Amino acid sequence: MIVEMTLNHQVKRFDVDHDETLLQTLRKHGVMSVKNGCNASSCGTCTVLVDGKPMLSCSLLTIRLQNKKVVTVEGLQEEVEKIGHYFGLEGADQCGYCNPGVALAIYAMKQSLANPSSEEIKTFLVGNLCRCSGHQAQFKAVKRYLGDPL
Amino acid sequence: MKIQQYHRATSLEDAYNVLHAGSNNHILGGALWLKQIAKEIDTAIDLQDLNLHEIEQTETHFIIGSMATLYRLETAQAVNEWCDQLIKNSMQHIMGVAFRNTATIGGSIIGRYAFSDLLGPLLVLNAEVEFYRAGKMTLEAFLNERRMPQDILVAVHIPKERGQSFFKKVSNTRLDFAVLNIAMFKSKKEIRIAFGSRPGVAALAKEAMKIINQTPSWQEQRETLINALLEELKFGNNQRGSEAYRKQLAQTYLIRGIEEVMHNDR
Repeated sequence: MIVEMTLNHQVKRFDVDHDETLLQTLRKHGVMSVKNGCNASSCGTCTVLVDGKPMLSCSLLTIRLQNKKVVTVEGLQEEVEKIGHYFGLEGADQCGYCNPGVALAIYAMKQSLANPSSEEIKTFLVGNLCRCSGHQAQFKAVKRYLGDPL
Repeated sequence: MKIQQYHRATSLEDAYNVLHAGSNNHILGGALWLKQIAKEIDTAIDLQDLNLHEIEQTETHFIIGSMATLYRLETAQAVNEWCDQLIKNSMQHIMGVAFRNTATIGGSIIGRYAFSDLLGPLLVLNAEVEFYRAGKMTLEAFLNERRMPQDILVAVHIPKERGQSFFKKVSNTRLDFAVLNIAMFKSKKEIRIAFGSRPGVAALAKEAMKIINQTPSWQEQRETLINALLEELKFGNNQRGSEAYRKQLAQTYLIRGIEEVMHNDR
């Protein structure tokens, strides 16, 4: 079945199976930033933005996304570079496997919460697991990113 | 999960007919849990075009469309103001935001999941569920039904009732299913209490509710209250916790919850 969507600001048409997930579709077509971590809706490494909202691509059937807008870090370069900058400053970056997913979640949080408290930040990002950093350095990087006047 | 056919329903009647056209046809909610448990589906029915994702209100009720996501309900300010943030407090502990942007209210209810953190709060808010053909029934009646309904859950109705709330999820890690969850709501009329993940599906603690609602000096009745709770509701073992641990938690949080909703009502 043909599904038409806007992927990273470009209209794309994909021929997909009925049970194909967005994660599978994206990786099949070279969008390799989206990672297959747990494949059980638990780790957040497959996070993408669908119509601006962070969602788990491992659990979304592509067939349901007709005419939706999907964004991965490839489509959000400028903002992701800023997040990456603060991750670097805080030493929050180790293996990098979770970074694309967490960067999109951080960006979505900035869009939806004005001046989030520490607890709100933790609650928003709790679904994006990092097995290297222990989250503390990431948390500091997020605080600095949110304070970025740009 | 294998899906043979995909059907995007054009009306509730259309969805209902396709659902009944084969015993292995399924309605898609968020499909998060379905993906984990279903091996093969003949026809997956998508309700996304039926305008069931809205949250509306009348003078007396909030009406939550069954395709509204958990996050949408969690961030519905009006609903949460009325219920003293009970819905928000219970949902914030269900995985992450990306998960809750995908999972739907309907999908979370229709499966009657024992681990659900949502059913207890909805029970104490006296929620009703509305099916396409069967019409409305209390959530409690639905949870007690033996058979899985071959019907379409259209909406959840939450009465507008001001009060004080308490919610506690006890879990081994933040993202794990609950060992036990406890929801309470004190309206002008009464206190309602529900325990979920016992590990059975959420249920009202009716005997304990009767005692507390009929006894002004409930502190003197603590033992009676706890005994009534433990006699009425079954607590059991699973890989997350033992029956003895759950019973201990239930007693502790029964009292803490009552103290909190009473205190906040002063």
